[in-house]
Amino acid sequence: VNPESIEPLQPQRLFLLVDDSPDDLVLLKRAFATVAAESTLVALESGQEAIDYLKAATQPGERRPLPIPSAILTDLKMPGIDGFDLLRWIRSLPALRNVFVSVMTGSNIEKDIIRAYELGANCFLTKQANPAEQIRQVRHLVAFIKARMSSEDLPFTSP
Amino acid sequence: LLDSHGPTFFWLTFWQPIKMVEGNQARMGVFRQRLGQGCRRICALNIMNQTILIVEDEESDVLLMRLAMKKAGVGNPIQVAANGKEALDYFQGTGKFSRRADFPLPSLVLLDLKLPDVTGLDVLKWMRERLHFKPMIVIMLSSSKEPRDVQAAYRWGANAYVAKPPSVEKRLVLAQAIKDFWLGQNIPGNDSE
Repeated sequence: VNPESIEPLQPQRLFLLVDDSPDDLVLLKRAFATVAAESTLVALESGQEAIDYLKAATQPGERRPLPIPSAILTDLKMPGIDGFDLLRWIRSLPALRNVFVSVMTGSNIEKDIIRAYELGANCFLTKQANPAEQIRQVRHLVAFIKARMSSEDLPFTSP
Repeated sequence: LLDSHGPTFFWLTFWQPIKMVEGNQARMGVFRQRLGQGCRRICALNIMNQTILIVEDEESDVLLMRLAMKKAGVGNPIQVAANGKEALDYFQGTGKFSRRADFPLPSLVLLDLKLPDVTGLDVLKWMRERLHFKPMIVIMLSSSKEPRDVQAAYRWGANAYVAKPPSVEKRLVLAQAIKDFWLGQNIPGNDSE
């Protein structure tokens, strides 16, 4: 292990975006394309789609059809399986315990903030309406994701 | 918040939008946008004034982290607990931390993993088992890159696990990331008193 490195060991990062509003998804995708062009984006429009994706990604076996994301950004208010349900489901899976989950919402209701943290959200962000502000937000998020470690980042556990 | 910042705080926050209207008879839309920015600035300032608690037994690491934070422009009050036992004292307001006014509950905890007796993981477990400390932001810092340690930290609900920066430059990068993301963008789950 090279103690000098806090840089990501995997240059290719995958971000999973979950939001039922197509408009918000487009804006988020644009922000990610601006600040993290080298990473892969998967944008899904419902909590159920996210669960389906993550089920496939965490299937046991050598050849997983889909990669596990480095970070998941999810909206809270979605029809059907909402952000809270998704969060609870993610944290029930040991394979996803290291995945950085960021909750994004338009309204900062204190009850929601506390509940999201209690269910295991890593952070809580306010949706930015102004594109420049949103790009800044995503830039800071991506910068921190790069500085953090998950056990998948460590060389001796990488496949 | 108002007690500690008084009129300067208001002057800083509202001066711009008021000037917009008086000087320019600006369109109402612009005014509202400015006011919106003013309100966001209140939120940002609010978070910026919350306490950071560093739990670290190496005095030199505390000093270096303080320097990096200062260099990155982190203006938050920083408190230090020198070991796990002190961290628990701090949270409970016992021992030398009995005056809550001097030692407010932090909204961000930088927690060293390897501490004698009461380890960083023990402190994290203690926090996550208590309702009031469950939403508190905890960033684990450690020189250990053992997958077992990383896994355990996340399993017990650390918000992030970061390798202790080995150089001045990397420490500054981390301090900057903490300032920009955790203090600038993230909304903490608890308000410090």
